[in-house]
Amino acid sequence: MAEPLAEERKFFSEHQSEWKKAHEGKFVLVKGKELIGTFNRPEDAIAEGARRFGTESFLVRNVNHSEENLYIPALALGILDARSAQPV
Amino acid sequence: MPVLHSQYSGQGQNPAGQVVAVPPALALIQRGPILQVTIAIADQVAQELVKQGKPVQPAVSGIGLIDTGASVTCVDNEAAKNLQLPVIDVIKMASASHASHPTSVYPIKITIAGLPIGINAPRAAGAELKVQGLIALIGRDILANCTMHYNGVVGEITLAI
Repeated sequence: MAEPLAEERKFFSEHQSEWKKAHEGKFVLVKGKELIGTFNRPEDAIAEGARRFGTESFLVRNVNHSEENLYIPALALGILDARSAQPV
Repeated sequence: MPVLHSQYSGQGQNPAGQVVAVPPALALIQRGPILQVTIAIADQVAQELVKQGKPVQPAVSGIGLIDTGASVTCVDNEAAKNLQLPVIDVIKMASASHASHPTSVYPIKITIAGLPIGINAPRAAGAELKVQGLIALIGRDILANCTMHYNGVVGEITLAI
């Protein structure tokens, strides 16, 4: 199965440089190959995305987005275990 | 400012096989600072769905673990699917089995049982948490709204929003 938002992320990558200049610090809302709008807060972009597309997927990203890995130590190191050996 | 005060408790077995109470400090060590939470679709999305007369899936309840090592809150993938949350991004995440794998980002709202306020986490990362008995890792994006006091000596946490 294709990854969600593959088209939107590709479109973002193709336009990120120009958007960084034109919409510094803003959050973009992208659907398909269309820039729907730019917003100061992710919440506003999400609200507009939900208004237009309901629960369909849509891309909300800061124009300064980087492709660095999200590193959650408990998950990355496999040391998360909220279960106890004893009933608690 | 609403305040939640939790002291942990539990039971274990002594060498003779008798069920005994686990001291709160040990219960907190064993399970970590866990809380009963509900996960729902973020307010921004829910409000739009209601306006359009579309159904909003009911919130799901479970255990959330406060994780000060997590920069962003994580939500269990299965819970996110059940809530029919829209995917708003895909990011790369490191896991124990993969140096980097894609994971979906969802707009959620977390409400902690005992506190009257729900907190929106507009960019919660999906993760396989159910196997750990969790539906959420409560990260620093949520904790940015809170004051927390961890008292390991007596097995208590206090959370104020």
